[in-house]
Amino acid sequence: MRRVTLTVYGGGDACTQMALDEAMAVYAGLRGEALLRLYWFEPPAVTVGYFQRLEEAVDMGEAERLGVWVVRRVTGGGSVYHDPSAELVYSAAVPEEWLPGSTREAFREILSWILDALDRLGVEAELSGVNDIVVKGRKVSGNAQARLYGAVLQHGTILLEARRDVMERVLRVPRGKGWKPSERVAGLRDLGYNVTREKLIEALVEAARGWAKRLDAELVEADSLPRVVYRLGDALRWRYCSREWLTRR
Amino acid sequence: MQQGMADQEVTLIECRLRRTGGKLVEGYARITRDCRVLELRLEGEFFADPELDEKMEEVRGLDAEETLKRLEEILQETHAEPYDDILSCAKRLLLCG
Repeated sequence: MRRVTLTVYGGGDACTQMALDEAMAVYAGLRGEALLRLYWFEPPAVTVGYFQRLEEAVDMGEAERLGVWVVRRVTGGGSVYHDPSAELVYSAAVPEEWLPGSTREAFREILSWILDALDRLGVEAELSGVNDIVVKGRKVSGNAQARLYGAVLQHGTILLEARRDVMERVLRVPRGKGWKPSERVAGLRDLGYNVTREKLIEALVEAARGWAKRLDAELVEADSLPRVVYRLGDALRWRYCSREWLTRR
Repeated sequence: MQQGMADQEVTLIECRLRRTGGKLVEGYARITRDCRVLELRLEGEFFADPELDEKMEEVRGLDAEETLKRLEEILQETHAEPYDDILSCAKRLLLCG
């Protein structure tokens, strides 16, 4: 039977978190098993999309002044500010053949897990566009995806509170975009839902059981990631922390 | 020598496209006077597999029509999304002649 392993990982710096996500994709692609992980960025960080131009997306001087790490993702999409106390991040590395071929459909499939978890918390959320989840018209979750090593890697945030002040200082509005990222987003608590990180984790674990079942897989809850993922993550971490990777566009 | 330089003379074309609900797609192309693509680069908030960059090297030296044809294949091979927006941006970049 197919296997999905879920780990509540917790806090870690942005280079480590991004390296572990890529390592999960290697594992999923080569082993034919799916991995789910819940974590947050500590210290706070901005992640920029793989195809974004750095200077258009982030005010590097302001990020440095505020102690915010800036790291480029291996996945597409736009820049995101991550505050450790205001959000939860998930990642999913799923063998490519388990999911539909199109990016849109693969997003829909993995996001059905997140939507189910929000539903369990009484949050009326819906999918918007290719990769956003909105509640009352406000974006509470942005998600990014790439296919690599024979796996689909998807990660995304679930906002508890929007830190607009910091967001507006560190994120730039790309020329031609027309609106500030901070204007569209809201956290679940900002929208009146009494959701703690612990409650959200609980709901995601519960929802993961049903999600795994839909993929014809069993869910295994594990205290830690497979050892090889940590080793791979260690090997990949330097790239995410390198200036060359960050400034490639 | 002078003739060689004239052949390499390039036009830099930029594209910025954002549709409602879509992602910001930007790009630029360097194209010779005889419509050969020296460089085509796509940037922005779109999704595609990281190998898109390597595959884009394949259009170097092709003419605009050949480039668009190959680009359509590349965008499909790399699961690029939003496909229509990216292609539309590339078409603007490759308007030639």
